[in-house]
Amino acid sequence: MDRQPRVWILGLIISVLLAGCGTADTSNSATPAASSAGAFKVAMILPGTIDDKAWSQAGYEGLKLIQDELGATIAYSENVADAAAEQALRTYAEQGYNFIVAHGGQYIQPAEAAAAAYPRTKFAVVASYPGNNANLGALSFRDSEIGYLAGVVAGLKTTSNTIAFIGGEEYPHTKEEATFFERGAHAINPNIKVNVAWVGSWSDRERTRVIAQQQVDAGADVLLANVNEASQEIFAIAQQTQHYAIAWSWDQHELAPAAILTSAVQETPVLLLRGATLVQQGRWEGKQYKFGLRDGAQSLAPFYNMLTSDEETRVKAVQNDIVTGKLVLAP
Amino acid sequence: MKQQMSEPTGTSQRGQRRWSISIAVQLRYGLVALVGLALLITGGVLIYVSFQAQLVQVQTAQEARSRQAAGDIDNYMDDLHRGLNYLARVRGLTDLPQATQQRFLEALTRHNDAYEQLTLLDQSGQVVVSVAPPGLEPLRTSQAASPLFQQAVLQQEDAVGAVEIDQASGAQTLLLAVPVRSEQDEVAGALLARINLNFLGFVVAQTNVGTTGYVYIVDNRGVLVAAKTRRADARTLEDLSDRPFFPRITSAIAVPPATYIGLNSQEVLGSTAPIRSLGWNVVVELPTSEVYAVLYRMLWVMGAALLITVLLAVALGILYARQIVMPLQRLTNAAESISAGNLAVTVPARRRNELGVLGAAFNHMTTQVRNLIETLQRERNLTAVVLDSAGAMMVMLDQHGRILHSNHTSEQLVGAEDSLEGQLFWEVFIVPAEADAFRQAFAHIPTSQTPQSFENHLLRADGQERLIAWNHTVLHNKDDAGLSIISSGLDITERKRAEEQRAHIQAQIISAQAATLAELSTPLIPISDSVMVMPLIGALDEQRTQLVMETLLHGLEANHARIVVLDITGVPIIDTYVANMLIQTAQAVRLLGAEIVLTGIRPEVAQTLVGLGIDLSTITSSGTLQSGIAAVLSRNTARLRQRAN
Repeated sequence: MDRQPRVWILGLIISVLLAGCGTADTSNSATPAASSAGAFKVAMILPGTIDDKAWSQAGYEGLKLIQDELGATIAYSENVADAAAEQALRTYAEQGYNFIVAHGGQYIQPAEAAAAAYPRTKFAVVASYPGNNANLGALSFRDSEIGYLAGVVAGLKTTSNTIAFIGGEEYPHTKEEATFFERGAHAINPNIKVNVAWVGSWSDRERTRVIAQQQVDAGADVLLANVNEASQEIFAIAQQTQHYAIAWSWDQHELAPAAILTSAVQETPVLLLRGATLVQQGRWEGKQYKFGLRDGAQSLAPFYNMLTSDEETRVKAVQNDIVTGKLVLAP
Repeated sequence: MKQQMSEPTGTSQRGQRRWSISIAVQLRYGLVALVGLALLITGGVLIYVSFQAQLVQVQTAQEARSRQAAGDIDNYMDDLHRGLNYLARVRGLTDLPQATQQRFLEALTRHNDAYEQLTLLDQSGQVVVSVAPPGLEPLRTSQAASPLFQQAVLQQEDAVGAVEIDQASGAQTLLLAVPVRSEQDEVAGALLARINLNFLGFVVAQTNVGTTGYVYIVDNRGVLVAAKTRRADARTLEDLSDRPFFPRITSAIAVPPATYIGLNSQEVLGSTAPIRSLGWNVVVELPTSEVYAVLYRMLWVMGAALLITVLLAVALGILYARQIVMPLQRLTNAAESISAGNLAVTVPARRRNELGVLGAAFNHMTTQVRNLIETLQRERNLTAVVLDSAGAMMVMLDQHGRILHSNHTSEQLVGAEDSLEGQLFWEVFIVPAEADAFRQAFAHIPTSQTPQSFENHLLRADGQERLIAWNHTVLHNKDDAGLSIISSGLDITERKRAEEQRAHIQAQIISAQAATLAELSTPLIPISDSVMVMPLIGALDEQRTQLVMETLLHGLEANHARIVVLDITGVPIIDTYVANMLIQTAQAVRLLGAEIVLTGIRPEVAQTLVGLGIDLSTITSSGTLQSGIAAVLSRNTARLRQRAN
């Protein structure tokens, strides 16, 4: 007699738990079911691999985010060479993908060609690009904002009044970053000398190291490293020579804790999700969509005590002025 | 005895109570506390859970409201954007004839009232065409230096300007710029639109948030664009970027509702939703007083319900506890009162449960004990009556002679008004003269195996001394707690006196009888003036012989007799002594001048006398009494004659 109620309660608890699991299961399984039927398909071509811990991986993470948030079916191609890009884009368009992302400024020409060939398919390049005014738009960061902020940080920390911007390839948006880096530094001290150097590649470590060494030799004591994974060469040199570095794209503090002042974090997944959302809503236009500090698409990583609190306050103030539009970063 | 019995049990009960909580109390308060506690915990948890659920509900509602308001405004702004974007998508807009461009722009002002001014700028920022609704001025100046133009043309993206107040109309305006394209779909200029934001006021005013809540819109610069409380004719823009809550309300993503000090400086539950097209935010704030009013009402109702339930449960608990406790207490009280000696107690045993059975058993037991006690009482009373009426003194002593108990008779006898308990036996019941001796004797009593009897005097209440026969019997107590002595005393004064009297009378009778016997054994019968006869019957002993002699002598002298006839016919045996005494008597008689005649000597006697060698020659003898008397009388007559002669 005494046992029975307990068993009953136990049964109740178990059944409730099972019911909970059951509902959770159905909600999970509903998404793929809807996506397979809903036919929102997103494809992406990537210049690197999905685990390169850099640009391509960020793109892939954006794709995963789209899959999770919008229930889209996704596809991607890794290590797509510029020459092969157009064909890859065409293939996806042929396969009926609704939204095809060319992840990188190098794919602008192929994307334009593919977009012209498939006017009913929406294309996006993740780069600074005005769009084809039809079905090819651009997703980009407000590179001016983050470049400017990085310039402010570098300007605050330089003692030699010489800083360097080391970029991978020279694209409109990387050039914009360099430009605003300089302006940010000059906002702190107009006499600061800003060197801009291009590696000409996103992966040439050797050349990157040579350039970094050249910049150090030229007296630069803050090196902005925007060369994807090859940036590690710059961090190494900065750490060796006890100079500073500013990392790009995501928080890379751990790679050189003593050298990296901060990282300009660009949340590529956020960008891609915004674009895919527009496509899904039928609002994708052949123009440029820019996202920045306000949208949570980019930010400065924590300083890990590399800046004094005064310096930190100044950086935050500048950031706040940009966010609220008090500081207009016109080109 | 009763007291001795009940006292230890009483103290032990009190002692137990002091150290432990009685079952009745445990039941009564434990049950109630248990019920109350269980209810309070469950109720508390339930209230907490529903409070949380309600809070979440309120917050969800709040979130939905702000999303709704943001959506409304977004839709409205989107409509304005769409118009511009539509023109931006027109291929070769910049290459169209001016008249056409003008009609396009005019169409927008007709499409939506909010377009106050539409201007087409070329790549260098110069005005190509500018259109304004009737009554408003079109733009005429170059916009080359305008950041908005630069953003649109150089950065090739849609640009949103800052909210401004048109000083002429007092209306809030906003500039939007979109890049427009050439025939080759390349950016070749910008379309600049000035938008009247009055509609935001309407949206805000129409959004109801509870009764005291409100909605307002903040632009990306932190300027309060529209608020329910803002006056329509205000000529300045309120900057909220210094307000402490500002970071919370300028988020690109929807922020979950939270409590903070809001726009009107009161605590609010606020939530923010972004207006995507502008980068602005819609903030919905509902004063917490209103938010929590619902919650507090719910809390109040649930609390009241809980209170009522607890009270009800406690009342029921008390009732149930009473049902168990009351009989239990009655039983306990009854048991106590029985142990205190009151056997008339009964407990109600109406219930058909264990307590009823217990009560019935208890009553049965009580009845039995009562009957037993009554029987004992009766017997005791009988004993007491017997003891009291027996007139015997009954005293119980301890081994030291102290009185433990005394019966009525003994108390009455010594005139004690109070109990004699504790006093020494000999001080009460024995006269001082004998007390000391008794005390010494008493020391042996406890060790004696047999009852000890004493006779002692007692000073009665009226001052009389009475003789009491005491019988002291040792009683060994079962529990070896010592021994006691039962002393029973009988007043034997009267008996003693009666005995003495009787002895006295007996002595008198005996002496009288002896005298009579003496007289009878030595009869001296005067026959004439000078002759006396003494017939002796029976054996003669020394005493009787002596008596015979004395009687004879005294009789002779008293009667002045001259002759005594001593008849020994009835004497069977005469021994030497008697014979000598007879001779001495004859001699004494002669000395008195008289003469003794012995008659009736039987042959056996004569034989004895002769055999003994006794000389009876001095004694005149005759054969029979008859002959002897005859001889004496004749001789006496002769003598009288002589005298007469």
